[in-house]
Amino acid sequence: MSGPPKDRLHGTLDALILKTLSWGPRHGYAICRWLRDTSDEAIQVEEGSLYPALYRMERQGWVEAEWGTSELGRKARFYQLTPRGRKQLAAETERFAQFVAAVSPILLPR
Amino acid sequence: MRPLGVGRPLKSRIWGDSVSDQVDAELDFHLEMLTRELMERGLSRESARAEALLRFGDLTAVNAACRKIGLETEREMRRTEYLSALRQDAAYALRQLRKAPGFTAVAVLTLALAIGANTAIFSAVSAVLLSPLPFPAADRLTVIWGAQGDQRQLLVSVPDIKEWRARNHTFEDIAIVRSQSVNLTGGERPDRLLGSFITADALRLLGARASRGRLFTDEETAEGTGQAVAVISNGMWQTRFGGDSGIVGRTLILNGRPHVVIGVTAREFRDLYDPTEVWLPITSAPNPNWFTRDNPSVWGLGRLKPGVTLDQGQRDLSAIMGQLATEYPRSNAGFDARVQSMKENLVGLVRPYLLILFGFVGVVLFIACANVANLLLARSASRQREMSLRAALGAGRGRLVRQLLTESLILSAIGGIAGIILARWAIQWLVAAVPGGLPAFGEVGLDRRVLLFSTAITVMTGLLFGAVPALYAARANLSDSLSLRTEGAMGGRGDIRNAFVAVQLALCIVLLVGAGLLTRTLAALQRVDLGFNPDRLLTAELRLPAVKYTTPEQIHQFMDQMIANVRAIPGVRSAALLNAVPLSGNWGRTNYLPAGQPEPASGILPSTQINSVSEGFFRTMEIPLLQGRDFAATDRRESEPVTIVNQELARQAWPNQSPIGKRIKIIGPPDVWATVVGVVGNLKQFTIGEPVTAQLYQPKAQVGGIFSSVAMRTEGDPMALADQLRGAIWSVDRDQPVWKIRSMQSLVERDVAPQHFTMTLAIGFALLALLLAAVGVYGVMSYAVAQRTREIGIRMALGAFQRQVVGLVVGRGLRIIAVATVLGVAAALAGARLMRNQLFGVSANDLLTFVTVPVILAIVATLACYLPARRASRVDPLVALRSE
Repeated sequence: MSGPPKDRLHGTLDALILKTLSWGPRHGYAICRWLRDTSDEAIQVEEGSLYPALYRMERQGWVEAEWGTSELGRKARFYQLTPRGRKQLAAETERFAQFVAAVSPILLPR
Repeated sequence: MRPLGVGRPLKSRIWGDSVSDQVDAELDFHLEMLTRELMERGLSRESARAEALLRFGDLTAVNAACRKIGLETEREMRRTEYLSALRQDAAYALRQLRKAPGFTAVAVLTLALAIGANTAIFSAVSAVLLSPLPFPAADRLTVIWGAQGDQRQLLVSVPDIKEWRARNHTFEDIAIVRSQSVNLTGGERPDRLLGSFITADALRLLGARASRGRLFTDEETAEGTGQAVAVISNGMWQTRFGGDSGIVGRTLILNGRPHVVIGVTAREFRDLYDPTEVWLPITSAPNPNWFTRDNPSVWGLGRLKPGVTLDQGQRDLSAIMGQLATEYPRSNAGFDARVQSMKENLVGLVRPYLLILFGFVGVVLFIACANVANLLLARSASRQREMSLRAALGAGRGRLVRQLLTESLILSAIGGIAGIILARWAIQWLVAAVPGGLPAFGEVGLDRRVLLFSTAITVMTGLLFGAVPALYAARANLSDSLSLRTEGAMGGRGDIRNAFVAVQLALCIVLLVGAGLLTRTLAALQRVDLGFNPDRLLTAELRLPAVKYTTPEQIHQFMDQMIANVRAIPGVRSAALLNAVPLSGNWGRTNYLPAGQPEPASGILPSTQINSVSEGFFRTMEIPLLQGRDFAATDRRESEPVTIVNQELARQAWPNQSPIGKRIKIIGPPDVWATVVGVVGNLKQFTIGEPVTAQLYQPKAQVGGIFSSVAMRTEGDPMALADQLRGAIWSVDRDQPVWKIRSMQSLVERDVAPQHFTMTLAIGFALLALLLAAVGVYGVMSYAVAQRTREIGIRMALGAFQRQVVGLVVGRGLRIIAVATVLGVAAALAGARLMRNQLFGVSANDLLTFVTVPVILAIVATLACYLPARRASRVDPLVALRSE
């Protein structure tokens, strides 16, 4: 494991993906689209990070993958949150909230 | 919803997709979606695709990263899946075993006894036969003896070994060794040490190191430059000298001569034979005639050059002995050398007995396997429906076999663990009980090799006894479960069970025959006429120091006075002096020539055992004097040399003539012409099993010598007079040690101890086998009866008598017994040939054994059949018909 900065980065990307999946199973492309649309194009998840992250989370048992049929009739790999993934999402969200709470008074003083 | 636990591995197996295919497909899908999105914005397909690829970044790297993680995930899931299935199987198996505590207990006990016995015997096999000797290049170490005719372990002369050293091409080194006890005096009371007279290289060949001081230099042990120095063992330094730090440089009086201690051996060093306490230069020999060519007194310790075989070494030395025989025909004619590997020398005598016992426990293990297999078969029959149900629910044949094998492996593992625990005790007992101790240099115990062996046989056992029942059970199919009758599937299974029982009984016969032949061997040995009466006979040995008793008169005076004192001990009926006590391991051999007979053309004279004894010896030993007279006080050194020969020598030398008054040349040195004054019976000198051999006695007074043994016939327990014997000797010379005070009975027992011990264990194993086989027969017959309750009920309802029902069941058992007897006797005939060399006084196809054993087996087996049969005959027909 490398130092905390990368952890933070991973953690954030993981949390975003998990959050995306919390609305229901999606394939990788849909996850990308959803994140981009929801953030008004502010967040552009790179494919080079997304897919390894998905595979990593599958290995950790946070998500499960299943082949299904996409809206265009093509076979696509759908990801679904597992109970462990849900717990992980809650933990990441909590951590993010703490981070924001700690940083806000300094960076955004009223 | 997807069913729990069906992960990607299963899906990918169903779809036939590998991880890399899936990654490719997934990323391709992504690119395709991106391309379409861009096309919607008005790009052409080509530029959309190019743009998508550009946005995606390094496709190959992402693909590789995903593939790596995916493969890891898949491997892990497979492992988890496998382990969870195994856990399931194991938990299920344990539940099944708990449900049948009787079955489990019998099976575990059977396996524990068999695996325990195998582990214990293997620990001895491992330590004695498999472990390398703790000497450098031990596989090239040899012991070299003299050989003449069928005498294969004779002493050789120092000059001969010197010639070997000078002329051979195959040995790195040949050292000279002679073990002999050494008198230690100057302390509180005289004592005897286990000594070894050597050349310096002997200790080097054995890799000895000194923990204090140093070992010998070559000069110190060479003729001409020899020094009065000594090296003592670490054990003796600790026990006798209390680890005295000033031991090096101390002077010990050894054989009456002062020797300076120059070193103490390292603690871990162990000598070859009895634990030597003191090493002396060969030049400190108690007798100067050790160095003459015509007086073989030592043996060789050699190391072959690398790459040279034992056989090449043997031929090399034999060739040299051939040269010496022509150069020194008087001393060397007919004399050869025998090169023996060190390993063979140390364990050769024990090996056949160990292997016999190893064979016995191996067979016991097979019988145990067959037994447990039969128990499992019986059980699997009653689990038929369970199996069919599981098959109907989709469990494949492989899955069922795996389940059943897991059960048997768990069973054998429990048995194995219990067996190893049993073996720990058994090994302790074994090590203590082996007569004379096992010739093992390492520790006999549960070391890694032994545990590996036990684990291996445990697993093998589990697979062996599990395989057949598992395959049978897995044959279960839906039709079996639909016809809710168990008999349908029983035909084949019944046959295989009968076959197992037959094999068990047959193997049992092999062991019983083996044990029987060993019993007959011991009985034959114990029946052997020793030629003397061993009851209430005490023997002891002593050696006068040559430096103190320098003249024959001095020696003679000591001996005369000592035997007079011994005879005066209250409770001693008679006593005599002799050189070599029968069965003590001491013996002498010489060549002779009757007067008036020409020397054989070969130059090889007839040979005889030789012993020198005082008057009264034959009376004391109760050896019958057949002709002539005993030695008398008048047969003195200065009077005419006389001799007494045994019946066998008389027969060989003067067939059909009276030997009394005949003259005979006893080859020396020096040669002696003696007149035969008496003929006595033959006796067993070296070992009880030896054939009748020529024996010749000389009066001790005419031979002299510093060594003597004492034999005395007592009124009561001979050992009770040991202290009086010591006192009688010390009243002549306060400094004279005496040792090996032993009853003749103990020597007789020692002589047959290996046979006795092997027989005891063999009988134990054979009885265990018989018990297992009987349990096997009983189990099978009980089961068969239970299966046929209905049929028996019908027969009885139709008017069959109890006797007929018993006959029906027993008859079926008798057929199995008959087949087993034929098989077993055939196998036993082959097996007995393997132990032919360990038999005595009984042939390998001894009729008595081969008749008695099947009879015993038939009786036991029939009884095991009869009990279930009788139970069957008491069945109430109504109950029987209602069953099922």
